[in-house]
Amino acid sequence: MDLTEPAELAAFRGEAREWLRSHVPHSPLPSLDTAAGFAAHREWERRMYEARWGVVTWPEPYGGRGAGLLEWLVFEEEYWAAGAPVRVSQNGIFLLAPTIFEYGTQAQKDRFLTPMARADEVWAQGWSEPGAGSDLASLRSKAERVDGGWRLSGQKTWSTRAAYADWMFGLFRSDPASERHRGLTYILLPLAADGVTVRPIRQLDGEPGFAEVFFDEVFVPDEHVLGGVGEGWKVAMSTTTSERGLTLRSPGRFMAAADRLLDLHAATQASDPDAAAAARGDVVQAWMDADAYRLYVLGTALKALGGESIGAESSANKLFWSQLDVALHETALALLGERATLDADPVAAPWLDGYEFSLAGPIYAGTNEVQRNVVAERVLGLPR
Amino acid sequence: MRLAPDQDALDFAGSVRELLADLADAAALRVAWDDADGRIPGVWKRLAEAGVLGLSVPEEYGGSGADLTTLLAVLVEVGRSALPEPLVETIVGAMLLAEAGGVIAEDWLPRVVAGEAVIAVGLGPGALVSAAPWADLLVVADHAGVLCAMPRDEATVTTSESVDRGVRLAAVDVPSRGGSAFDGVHLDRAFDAGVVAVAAQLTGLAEAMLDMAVRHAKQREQFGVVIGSFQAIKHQLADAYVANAFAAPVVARASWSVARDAPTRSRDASHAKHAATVAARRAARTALQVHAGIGYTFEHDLHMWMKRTWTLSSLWGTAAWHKERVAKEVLG
Ligand SMILES: Cc1cc2nc3c(=O)[nH]c(=O)nc-3n(C[C@H](O)[C@H](O)[C@H](O)COP(=O)(O)OP(=O)(O)OC[C@H]3O[C@@H](n4cnc5c(N)ncnc54)[C@H](O)[C@@H]3O)c2cc1C
Repeated sequence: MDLTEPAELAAFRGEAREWLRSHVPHSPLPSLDTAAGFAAHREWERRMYEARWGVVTWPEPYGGRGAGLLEWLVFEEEYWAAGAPVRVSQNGIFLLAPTIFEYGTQAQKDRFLTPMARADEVWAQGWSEPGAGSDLASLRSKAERVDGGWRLSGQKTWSTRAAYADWMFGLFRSDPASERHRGLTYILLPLAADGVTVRPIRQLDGEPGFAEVFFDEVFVPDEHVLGGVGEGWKVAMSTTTSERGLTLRSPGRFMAAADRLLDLHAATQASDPDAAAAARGDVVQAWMDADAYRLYVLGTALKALGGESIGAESSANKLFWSQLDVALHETALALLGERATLDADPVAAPWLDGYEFSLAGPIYAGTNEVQRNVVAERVLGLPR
Repeated sequence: MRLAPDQDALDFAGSVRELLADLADAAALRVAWDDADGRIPGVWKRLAEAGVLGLSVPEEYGGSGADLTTLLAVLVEVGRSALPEPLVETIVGAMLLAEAGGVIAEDWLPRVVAGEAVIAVGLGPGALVSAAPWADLLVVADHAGVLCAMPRDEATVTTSESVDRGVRLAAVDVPSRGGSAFDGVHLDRAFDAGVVAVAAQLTGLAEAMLDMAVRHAKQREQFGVVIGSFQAIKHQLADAYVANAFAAPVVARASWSVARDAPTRSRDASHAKHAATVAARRAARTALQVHAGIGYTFEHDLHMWMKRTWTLSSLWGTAAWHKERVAKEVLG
């Protein structure tokens, strides 16, 4: 066993901390769910990219630092500890890019990666449909063969950030005779294309955080197919089952939230000692769970680096962080007491916002019920 | 960096696992439980021969001088087998003696390594001393609250029967001797080592109970299908698995913090005991619910694992006690 942070990693941490300290905006950017906020978040991504902090795990020719998993974890810790903005380009850089690196042609890498990393092109994920949520393989949006490409029709929904995004990666049924996960194709398309209609949907917080997207005979050329025609399911699954599933939500985010919770507890101790005393156990539980999450992810990352495969463990991971996030925010709201729902209160508002977002954790990226099925079947070996 | 024990330690633990499967299976446990003594004949000696008892004893006393990160994997195996032997007590006692040094260490440590002496220790918040009736040497506080060491027959040991027939819990009364062999010894550190050792056993117990439950869920049929195909069964097993999977790295980190005497040592040890206790108790309840009627019997093996879980939950500080210890460090 050896838990000492190696010198190179510590140096990397120091470098990241230093850059973030002098570049993270002093006051929060305007909401991502407004046109101005979206633009401000793009601008932030661009600055990070230019300093080569935007996509640290990418190879150097694409603006990254070729960083490994441990460096990525360290970077994320520093990023969230610095109170830096949410990543408007996360669908692209964390979900799509690894798939492009694995399945993309050289032309696709050259075309898409740099604008993605600079947030000149922000990506939305188009998997869910009104009739296909947990049962993604029942999706019906289709791609029909036409000269030089594909013609899309159908509908996607709950697509995060699609209201302001530029591109979508989605799954379409390209073989009309196919069923379930066969005959699907992974397609990249500009949301400004003819025949695309984006209708923003107000989320729980009232803001247009996701959208439904309609396709009416939308043409996409062949070069926008990622991976093989009919191979879409396999290509899409590479996004969820690899180590990326492990790092969908980095520990740094929850460690930073837990530290803020300690501050809130300390402040409450002065203003309302009874409330602080009552929440004491929950506060320390949230802090311990964030710490446990960090250790579990570290252990799994080290296993992955040692060459072990980690497939279904990412489901255990998702169950843990999503529940931890909800519990942590519920504890914060308990500390805030009657101020908890005041969304113009400068102390309460970010917690309320965080709470609403945490409630989506058990739903997106595969609901927690589905993740429990996966753990039971693939880790414990119980029958389907 | 590495969060798992070294490969050598894992290999060693694997051999201990085989040894225990051979000598201390459920049938042997049952015999020990029914026996007045509560121990499995011959196992202690075999553990000594295998090098388990000397693992953490310094080399100058005939041991291998390994630290808690190496012991960790062995302790998980010991937990997995619900072994009724005074291992943690003796290991921690030996740590205290080794740090104290002098005649007492020279007298007792080679005997510990050889499997000829059992030590019981009274550290931490509880009043009961686990394994005292089995011990050759007691390391306990006297009337004046001073930690001292003495042969068991010089103390008054009053055993209280536990539903866990594989342990012996006792009140120990020792006259004041007016001096301690342990001046300057880091008692907190030894206590934390015991806490982490017990936490490691708890994760092993949880794994064993989950294994039992999963095996049962794959065999038992109701409504014409195996019960493991019901989501209500799958989901509770998945949740119990996740709880223990997230306790294990916390316990591993704590073994490192104790071995290195890190500034966060006590906090990490308490976090480990809390997480492992909560996870093991959950695994116990889940395993019982999945077994249902058969699990609620004395005939089925599960109850021995479950009761060991209860015992280890309550010894060396409860989950609530440890949570408050973390809270004091984190929240003040
Ligand atoms: C904030 C947010 C952002 C999102 N962003 C995106 C995005 O960017 N792109 C995108 O494509 N999608 C996105 N989604 C959609 C998300 O992936 C789906 O909501 C999710 O897959 C569940 O599908 P559903 O909502 O249709 O629920 P359903 O599948 O209808 O599920 C309803 C309930 O039934 C349960 N259930 C369903 N099947 C099973 C089963 N086999 N066993 C046990 N229980 C089951 C579910 O767990 C759930 O509790 C987002 C959702 C949210 C909330």
